[in-house]
Amino acid sequence: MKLARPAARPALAALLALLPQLALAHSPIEGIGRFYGGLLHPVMVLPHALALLTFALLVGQVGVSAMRRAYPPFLLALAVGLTLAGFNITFGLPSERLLLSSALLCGLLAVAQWKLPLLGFTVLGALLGAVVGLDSGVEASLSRQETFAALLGCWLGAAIGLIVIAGVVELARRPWQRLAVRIVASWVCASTLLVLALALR
Amino acid sequence: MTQKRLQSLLAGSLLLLAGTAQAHAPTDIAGGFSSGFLHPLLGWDHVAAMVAVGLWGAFLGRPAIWLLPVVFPLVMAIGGALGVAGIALPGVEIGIAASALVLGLMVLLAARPPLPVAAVLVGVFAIFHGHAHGTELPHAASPLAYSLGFVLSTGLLHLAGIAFGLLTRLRFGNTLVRAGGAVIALAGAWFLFQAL
Repeated sequence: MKLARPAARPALAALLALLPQLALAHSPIEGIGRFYGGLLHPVMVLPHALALLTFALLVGQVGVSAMRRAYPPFLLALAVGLTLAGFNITFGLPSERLLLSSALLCGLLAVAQWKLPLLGFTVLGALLGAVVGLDSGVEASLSRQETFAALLGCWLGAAIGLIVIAGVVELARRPWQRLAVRIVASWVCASTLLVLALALR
Repeated sequence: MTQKRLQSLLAGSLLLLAGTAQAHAPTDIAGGFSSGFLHPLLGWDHVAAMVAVGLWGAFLGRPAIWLLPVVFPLVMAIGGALGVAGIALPGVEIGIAASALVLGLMVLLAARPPLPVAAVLVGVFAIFHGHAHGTELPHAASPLAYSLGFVLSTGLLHLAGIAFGLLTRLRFGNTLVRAGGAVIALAGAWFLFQAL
């Protein structure tokens, strides 16, 4: 059977339409939009989520005094990190290892209910904010407006996540609630310890 | 264009097909998490031992009953790290089978050893279980999601055991829980027989 050349062209055009799509480095859910993609980024990217979760557990366990010391440097460093990432300046940090190490450290402190000196919250908050921010860059192909929307969403998502979880933990005063916090921290520690072992082998 | 040529063109073009490239592919995360979550649940030896740990906690009482779900995952992770690092542990399958037998017997006998003795016994078995999970980790689609899945599922099995263990507060609950221990010990003996 012979096919006419015009008949083959639509078939070829249809196949070419199936070629690989644009790489979406930072849209956790396709089609959700840049701002909401950024908002969900800290929750959907596991190393970010775990690092933020254990830091929030630790801050919440200590209470309002730790929140006062941790939030400002975290939010400021996160904004600086995101701005630099927006300009594709990332310093080549091993972000995943740093975030998992932070999750392990904060998790172990939360399991042990260790009373970290308040200065420690300032330092940890600043470092965590900077690493999360630097690791949350967007594709270079985005417009300035889309980049801003994605980074703003990411900043808000991380801030809301930290403040809400730490707030809930701070309100959890009953012994079984305190125990539940330590159980969650120990599960995160176990998980991150294994992945760090894999990364370091 | 002949049909043969068109078929060749189609076959060649299909090689160009690929999914959307994503830095944090949700499918990898979901696949890794689900395979990790199911790993302990699909092995009856793991299920029996984890539930037995929770049940035994009910006889050991406070603080052991609540310390176990905090400490066990951490000790298990050390075993898992050995597995990830490729450090061979002799008799892993035997250790896992023995854990179901020994822990089942502890529940059946309602044993109440001193807390450090119970902790060491459970800790040794945790290393065997962790090693078995850890050796699978490097092959997972998303190692972090896999590890989260199996830690979560192991923790939930503990909590299920603890919840059943709390039946000891009821009138016939003590007998019921000890009967559960007998079933786990029998299963453990069967696992051990198979492992040997």
